Amino acid sequence: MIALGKTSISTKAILISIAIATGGLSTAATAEPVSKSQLALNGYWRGVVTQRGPGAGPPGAGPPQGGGRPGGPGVPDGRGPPVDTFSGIAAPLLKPEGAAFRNKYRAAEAAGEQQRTPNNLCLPSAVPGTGVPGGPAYGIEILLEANQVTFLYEENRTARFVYMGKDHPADPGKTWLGHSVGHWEGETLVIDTLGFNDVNLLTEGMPMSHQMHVVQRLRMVGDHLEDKATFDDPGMFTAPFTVTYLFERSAPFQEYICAENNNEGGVPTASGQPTPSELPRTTK
Amino acid sequence: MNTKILASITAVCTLLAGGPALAHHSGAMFDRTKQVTLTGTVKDWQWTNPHTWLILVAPNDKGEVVTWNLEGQSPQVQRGRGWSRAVLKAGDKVTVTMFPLRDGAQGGSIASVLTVDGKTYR
Amino acid sequence: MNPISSLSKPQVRGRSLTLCVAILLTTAGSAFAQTSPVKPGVADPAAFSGVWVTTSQSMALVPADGKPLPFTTSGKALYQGNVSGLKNGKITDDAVHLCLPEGMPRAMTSPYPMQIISTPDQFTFFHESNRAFRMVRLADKHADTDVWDPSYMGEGIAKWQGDTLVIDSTNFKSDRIYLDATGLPASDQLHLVERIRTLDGGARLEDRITIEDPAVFSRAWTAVRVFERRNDIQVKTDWVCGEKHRDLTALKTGASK
Repeated sequence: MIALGKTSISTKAILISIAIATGGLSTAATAEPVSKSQLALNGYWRGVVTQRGPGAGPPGAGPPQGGGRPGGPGVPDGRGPPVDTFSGIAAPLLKPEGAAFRNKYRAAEAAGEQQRTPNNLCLPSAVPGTGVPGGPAYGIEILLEANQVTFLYEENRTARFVYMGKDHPADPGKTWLGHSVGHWEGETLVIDTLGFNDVNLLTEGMPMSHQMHVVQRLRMVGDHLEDKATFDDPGMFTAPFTVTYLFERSAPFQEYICAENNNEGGVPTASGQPTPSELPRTTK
Repeated sequence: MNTKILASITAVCTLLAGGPALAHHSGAMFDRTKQVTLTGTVKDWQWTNPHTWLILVAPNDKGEVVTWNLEGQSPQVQRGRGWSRAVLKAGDKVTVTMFPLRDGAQGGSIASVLTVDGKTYR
Repeated sequence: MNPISSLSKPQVRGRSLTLCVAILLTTAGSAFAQTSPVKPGVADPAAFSGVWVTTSQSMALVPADGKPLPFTTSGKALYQGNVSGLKNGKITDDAVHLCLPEGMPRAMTSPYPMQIISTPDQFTFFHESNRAFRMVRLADKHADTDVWDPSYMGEGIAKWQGDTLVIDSTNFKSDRIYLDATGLPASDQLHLVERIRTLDGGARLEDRITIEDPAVFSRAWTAVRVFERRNDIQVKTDWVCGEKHRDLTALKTGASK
């Protein structure tokens, strides 16, 4: 068992797993009122670390060799550098152009050259956005109405509207947040997002293209919220991949306004937010 | 098309002070192999996003009294470490340890602050 | 475009990968005292839900009773300083230049649409302009200000009085907001009480905003903002400073989505 504050979670029940998602999606014809059991997803949530593994060993030893099993009792804490939620999964799947962008980004950062990214320029994040496990302690709020589900994100105070029981428009455009539609399958909330622009990043240093298409399946697992997100971007990745996130209930979050004092390393930016032309492009 | 399939993996996680993943920015501009200690007076304490800032008047290594721009994490991250906006105010005499800017400019990333009431915040 | 309809079946092959996530620190304690849920009045909370666009032609807040703004002496001087500073450029309007939140009550004067989201125990107001939002809890007590920091939108708590939602807001980031686009000043004593209800069977929404700030005004005064329901438009949540925004003329004539 892992103790997380006051909550104990069975390690068998919680995994971060990588799998290729299968299956199709149906779109609901009507937006039914939210049922009492579905309403369990409503409220404030914070991401939860679900397992620990062996340490990374001495510098230069390369990535840890895991055995494919989730961490269990007696498995020591890791000691390696932090790796974002995607890098261990997605990096091997990147197409050459994406891999080149990512390697260039990481090399520059390792050399001490701060890279400008949409996130540090206060631009809206793509899915899954901020607030997922692996980052700082920022939260989300999920608001459930019959015809719309709203995600509010603490970091960089952003909202995502998910239109329930609707299809994507024929031309969803190219936006920072993409266009989201959703429906319920029993007590599982299924969200389908596409129509991203080709300038946003999936996470720091991880590129994505306009073809990114994310399907999320959210449901309660005991007291926790599980979000199984499948990322399919044939423009940047050789195959889809799935990441499972876990959240615990949380207190309300405060007002994080990214552009209110956005100085990078002591050098004030001219404005809080640049024009998109200043950002690195991941596709030609 | 060959699909590379991935098995379930073991998670490796660490707890690091400063520089967490998915942060506002990576902190690459700071040299985390060095720590500099400054003792001086708070000129301004900015409890803002995306970073808190301690503007400190303190001597440099030549003994000249200069202004330092010292960056903290966001209020939310600082709160998780026991800070609040009330921890510092203009005029306070403090001792700060920080990771300096690589380019040698008068700034850095805050590692710890020893405040007037004898408490250390990290 | 259709959602994903099929993906290839997995062939599991062992592979070791690293995935490192950091322990997240939860905030120490909660700023909110436990309160019992407030029972709603005769109103249907869902009636507030939806997209609303102002019917006002002006972004200036004025007393609804037609009397002049009841400035204190120092309040009047502050206001005149703001007006001339905004005009000659000595003062910048952060809401315009950095797209920072207009804050409350100014967000209610925006010509861009707003959406109200109604959920158990909370109303959320999302403003398309500068993609700002506030969450208003149904509660009896404000959050502990030792833990809950000042904000652009203030901290709002709500209760029902019959069909009217009464929102009490305090703890503003007063040095970074104006009460309206003309530059009406705010001090850290700013206190708002809003009375919000629907009119005309839900076709319109009225927000009667009572403004109290003893450092600026010699007494409280009330401005009224009215909105019409617009089911024909979708509020965009991705406002980015410097990017093109919706055509406001088309919004008025109903020609834009």
